[in-house]
Amino acid sequence: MIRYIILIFLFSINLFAQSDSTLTTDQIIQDLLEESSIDLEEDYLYDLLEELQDNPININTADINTLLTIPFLDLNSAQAILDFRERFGKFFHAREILAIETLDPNIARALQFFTTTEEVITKPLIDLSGLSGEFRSRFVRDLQDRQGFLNGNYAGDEFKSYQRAKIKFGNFNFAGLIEKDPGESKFNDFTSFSVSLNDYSYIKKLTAGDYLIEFGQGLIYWGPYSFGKGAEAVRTVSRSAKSIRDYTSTDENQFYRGAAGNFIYDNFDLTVFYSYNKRDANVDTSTGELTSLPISGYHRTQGERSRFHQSAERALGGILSVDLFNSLRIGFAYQNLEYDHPIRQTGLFNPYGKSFNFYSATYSFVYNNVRISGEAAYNEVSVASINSIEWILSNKLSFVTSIRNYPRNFYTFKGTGFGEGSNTSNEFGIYNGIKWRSNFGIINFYFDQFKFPYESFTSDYPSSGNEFLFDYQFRPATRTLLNLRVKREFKEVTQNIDGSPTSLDQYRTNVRINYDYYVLRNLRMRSRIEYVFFDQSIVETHEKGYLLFQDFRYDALDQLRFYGRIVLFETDSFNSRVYQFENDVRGVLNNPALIGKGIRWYLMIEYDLFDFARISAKYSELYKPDEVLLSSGNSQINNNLDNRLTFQLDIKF
Amino acid sequence: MKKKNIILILIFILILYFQSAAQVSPGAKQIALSHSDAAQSNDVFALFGNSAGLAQMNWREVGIYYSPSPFGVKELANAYAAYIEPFSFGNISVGYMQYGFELYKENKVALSFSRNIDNNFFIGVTALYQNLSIERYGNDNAVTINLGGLYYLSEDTRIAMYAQNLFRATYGKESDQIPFIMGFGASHDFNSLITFNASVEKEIDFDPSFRFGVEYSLIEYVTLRTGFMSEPSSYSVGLGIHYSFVTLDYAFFSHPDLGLTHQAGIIIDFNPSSPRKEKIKNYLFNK
Repeated sequence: MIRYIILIFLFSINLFAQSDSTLTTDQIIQDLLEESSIDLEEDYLYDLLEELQDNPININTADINTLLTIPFLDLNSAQAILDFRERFGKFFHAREILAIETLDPNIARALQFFTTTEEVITKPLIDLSGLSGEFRSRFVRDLQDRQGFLNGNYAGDEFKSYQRAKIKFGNFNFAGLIEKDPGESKFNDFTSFSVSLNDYSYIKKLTAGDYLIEFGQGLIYWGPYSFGKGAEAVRTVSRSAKSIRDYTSTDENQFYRGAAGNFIYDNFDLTVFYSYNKRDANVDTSTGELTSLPISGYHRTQGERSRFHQSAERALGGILSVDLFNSLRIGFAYQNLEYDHPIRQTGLFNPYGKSFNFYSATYSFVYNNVRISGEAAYNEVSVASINSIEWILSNKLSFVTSIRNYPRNFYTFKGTGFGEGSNTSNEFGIYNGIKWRSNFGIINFYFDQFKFPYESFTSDYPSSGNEFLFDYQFRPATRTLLNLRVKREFKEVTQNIDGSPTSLDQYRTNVRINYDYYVLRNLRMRSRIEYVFFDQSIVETHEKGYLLFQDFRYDALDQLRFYGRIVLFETDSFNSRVYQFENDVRGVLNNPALIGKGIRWYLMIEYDLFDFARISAKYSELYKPDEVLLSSGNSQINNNLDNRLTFQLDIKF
Repeated sequence: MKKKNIILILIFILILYFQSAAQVSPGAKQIALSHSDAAQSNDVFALFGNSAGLAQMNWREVGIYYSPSPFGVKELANAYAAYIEPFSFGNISVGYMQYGFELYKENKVALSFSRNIDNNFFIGVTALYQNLSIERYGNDNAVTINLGGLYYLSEDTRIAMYAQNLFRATYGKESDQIPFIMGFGASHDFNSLITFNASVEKEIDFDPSFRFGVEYSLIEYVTLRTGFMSEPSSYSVGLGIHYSFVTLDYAFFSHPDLGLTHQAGIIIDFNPSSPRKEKIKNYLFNK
């Protein structure tokens, strides 16, 4: 009986959801990524969410650890889904998630696109039914000539080209990618390919070609992306690994190339892999040592081309996980990396030699409303660890505490552990986060304290710092959302004063007011004011920067959408730079740092040509009135205007 | 020789005056509120500020504003006229502005279209044809495009945004002679007598200007106004007298460098049925 009432309720919610908002998956992805407040213009995160969309998680069979591999889902929400399933039985449809009262409506809406209720049926190995695929073709061109083209330093033309195809039939996935950056001469400067077999008998995944490996909390294995600290204060700390991921991104160096298999038997889950990948490298010809492994992937100038595939990296390893008592998952991993040239010793604690071994153990334990998870990793020198407790105090209040300890002589080549620094080394930190869905709005707060016990990138001495974020969202009127955010970061940095390195206190404060309002069902406006304050003691640096923007998103027709924004910004220098996450064609992240004084605006149009094809185009312009040239070196523009045109064609069948 | 010096000083003042562009905007009401009225732009002079506000009006109106010698300098004289005609498809307004004296003259012709997109949302697009002539330097023309939006959060609360000179039109070969300006504002009717306004405006070459203003209807015929802003730091007070179809507005404001001055304007309303705010609410919410 209750079930039927809920069904009726569900349908009414559906109607409401549809009339309240016409959010598409892409908009949800954009919103999620914007929250992650990343500084990179990389597409891993986008690919991650697209992959999840293509391979949704079955909410009728998933356990808590599987649910938590959805990047934006917190323990609280995952638990709510399981509780609902326990009370009312299997879900009829992913939309039924909307009926879970304790779930944040935004999360529920997003979940519809990343979950399914369809059972995985073991099909015959070769099964051509259900063939589907997608093709994405993108061309980008800067309309201003950059110095590298004018002086002939760049070999190729000014187009950036990106061509990707994915095909799926039966249990097989194929993916191929060809990319060329502006200035590169070959159309296929970067080529990536993978084929994988999924969910066939004991085989969960078998991949040949390019792939990524995830394990534990990312101390020795993880993709070259991470969500990092963001406005979701509780969710972002502890991770849920997905073992093997087919690689569909454009980073040209940090993936594995070879074969990998993930097998399940009863409660055991085993992954083994072998990879041999050529990498861009700087090799000292006199000693034969590797001096660096650049990851930019650019091959435009003589110098950049001379680094192309100068070294090879061989990787092999395995991961064994086991689920115990329905609530505990433990895992062990091994990895060996070998380079064809020895890595030069650059510091007492930096890696050197040719061959490296890594060992790691991880656990995740969920009991009632508490999840304890962590990882410890050993690089044959020292042990790094991270441990977290996520605690749901009520369905409105959740809390997380995490302690990380990455010794100065720990290093990792493939890991990206949670932390302030990016290299999972030389850091000790304690993170506390709280999320409270109160009656007067949603409050996210975190406080992260960190210490670098040895010299770091920004300091010649041991240093420490902390960071807090306070984020408050509430709805002052129907169809509107006000967001206030204050973020303050304190760090000890070193600067040369009168010839001697001096430690000084550095503060960076961001204050943001953001207001979203649905003017019409299909027209969303967004206004924002953001201030950045940058202060340093002793040298008495006090800088500020800010931006104002007005944004709109208009779904003119079912097939036609417009996105636009005007940004006015002014910053004293790079220190007080401001960021604003921009809409771009699908698959592209754009979060440019705005420095100096100027205007940026863009207009993007998306048109669904047919059911299966979409074209999109974006024009963006950055104008700085007081400059005579922009950027420097080969990317210099001899003008104060930087404008760009992007075209993309998406075909899905 | 002496005359030349005076002209130089005058031109310097003119530049100062011109750069704080907000002050060139017309309307004694707008000035009395220290231009915090982005979200309360509900008279015909909205044409020169946030033209989205014009769409709130379903009646004809003519406004004339004249400032014969601001700060005691008759060379700074400026005059504005504006007219609005409501149509079923939206409102069309035209305006004219003149500023300066024989050595430095500026003329503008404005044409604006504003429309109610939804019950609560208004947009306005204004094209300004501008002419500048400086003695012995010649003259030049430019067309600038302004955009405005106004949204009613509730009957009593409005927010607004506007951008001026969107495509960065300019005089001569020198870029940025006409500034790019962007602003946001909010306005709240505390009760039927008191309205609070706040706004921020940023011109590309200047610090952002934060503005605040209050309007108080003392009696049916008299409205009192006051406001202040941060860039340039200034205070303002004003008075509006409404009788039948005539509204007389007066404003008095301070400028940090130039001192105090007075402004006045007159608005003729062809449908003087009830006070302005009431009329707009009736039109928007009691249809």
